Amino acid sequence: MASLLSRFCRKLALPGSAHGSRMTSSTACGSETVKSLNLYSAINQALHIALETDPRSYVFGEDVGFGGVFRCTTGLAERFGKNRVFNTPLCEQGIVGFGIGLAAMGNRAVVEIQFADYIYPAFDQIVNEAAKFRYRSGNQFNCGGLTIRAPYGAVGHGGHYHSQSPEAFFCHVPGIKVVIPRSPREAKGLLLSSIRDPNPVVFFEPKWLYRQAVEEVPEHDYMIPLSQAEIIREGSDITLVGWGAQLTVMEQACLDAEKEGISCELIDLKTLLPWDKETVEASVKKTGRLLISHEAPITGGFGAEISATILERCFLKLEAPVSRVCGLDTPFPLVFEPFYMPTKNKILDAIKSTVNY
Amino acid sequence: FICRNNGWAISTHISEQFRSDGIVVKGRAYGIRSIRVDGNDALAVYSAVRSAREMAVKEQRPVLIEAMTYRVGHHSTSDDSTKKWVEDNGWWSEEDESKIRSNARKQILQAIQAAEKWDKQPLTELFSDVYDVKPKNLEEQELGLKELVEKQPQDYPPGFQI
Repeated sequence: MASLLSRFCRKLALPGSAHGSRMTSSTACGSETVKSLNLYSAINQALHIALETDPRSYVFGEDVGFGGVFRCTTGLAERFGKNRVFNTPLCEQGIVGFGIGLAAMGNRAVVEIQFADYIYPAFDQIVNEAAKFRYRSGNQFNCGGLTIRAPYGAVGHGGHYHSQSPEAFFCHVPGIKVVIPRSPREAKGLLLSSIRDPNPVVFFEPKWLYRQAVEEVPEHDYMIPLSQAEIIREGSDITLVGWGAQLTVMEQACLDAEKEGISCELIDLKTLLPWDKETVEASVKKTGRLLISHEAPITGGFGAEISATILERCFLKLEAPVSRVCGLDTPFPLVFEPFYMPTKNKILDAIKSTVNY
Repeated sequence: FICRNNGWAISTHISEQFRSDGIVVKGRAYGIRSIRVDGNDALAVYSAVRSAREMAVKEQRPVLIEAMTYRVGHHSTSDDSTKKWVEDNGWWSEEDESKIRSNARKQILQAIQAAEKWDKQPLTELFSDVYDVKPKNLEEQELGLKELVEKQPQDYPPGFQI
């Protein structure tokens, strides 16, 4: 009876895709408590749990001591002390390098890069050191305890250096994992999985959703598996694949398409490297059409990789060319941001022309 | 190079930032002539910058100036500063604050009204200066975007010349 009740409660408490809704209620259900949280608070909760459950875990980066510029590390230094949660010099290469060393000695290093736009000084450490640590030592050593968190993506006014989506660079690096959550509940579960994964993980957080996305988040310690995509909306005419903040836009396009009689299946990839080809393949074999959308520039974006893979696997099932609705091949602009973005109507247009091909 | 050393990053004190005695020694380490001045002494700063400029122009050599000062304001919206100190000294009051605020607001509104009458930059500026000349992919994307904007102008901010 108790287990039945708790299963029922889980269903009640965890509606399918509720980000964007602003519920403030807190539902208690036996041992399972959920709370309405925004994305940065969900990240904060995951970091609290990570530090609490593993005495050998550390959180550090620029300005994390006072809570971080997006408040993700609020309260951690007070709770766990300056030896486990601390500020670093303004040097991304040093932050990641130190994280690699700490992780190599069997610790969990959760490092924050203040903006994904500033991860490039650490590129060498990530690509040449973290990613190859296990491989070049024949698995004698590894830095799997390393997780690099960084806010990515547009925010409406960020301009060139506070808006970039650099995920594709890292998806070209064997040895690391790349994870991007779409909502508060996903962020908490995926971050805990990333921190505890025995491989280095680059975890990009959609900064546009830090405050905007609110969702019921279980208070307890839970993990969402990596490299498993999720069908967040079922449909039969076309498959849409995305990740992070872009899924909110794609979902709206799906709703509009539905009004015109087009049934869209929407997939959240969640982990970009290594990605869940099977879920996408099975979906495209069912619908016969594929659209991929991301904020990063279209050329060399991760959409190209998905497109190529699906062409290899589903060539004879495809009813239309794979469509990509992405950012332009320009630096991320300031006043032109609304023109640059892969907006709902750009996606809707592409859905229609793909279905009517 | 002019470095204003006010002792802080957004929230991180220099004691957590580096172990050296300030920035001036780092310039020396790179073979750059470097000088530390009292950043609150306007004449000292002027004299250092004037000499540095002379060296830079005449000898084509870099110079580093570290101007030592204090943190008197916030760095960004994430670390709001307080005006308590100036108020405690009687240098500033709520009345001064509201006066300067409404004054500034008026000036800004006037500037916005004036600026709104100007043409916004043409859409083509989104694609120019990525390279010396526009490559084919950007030409294609520009054409595609223009078609989209003409088809669905309600999706985009007004006033841009297409």
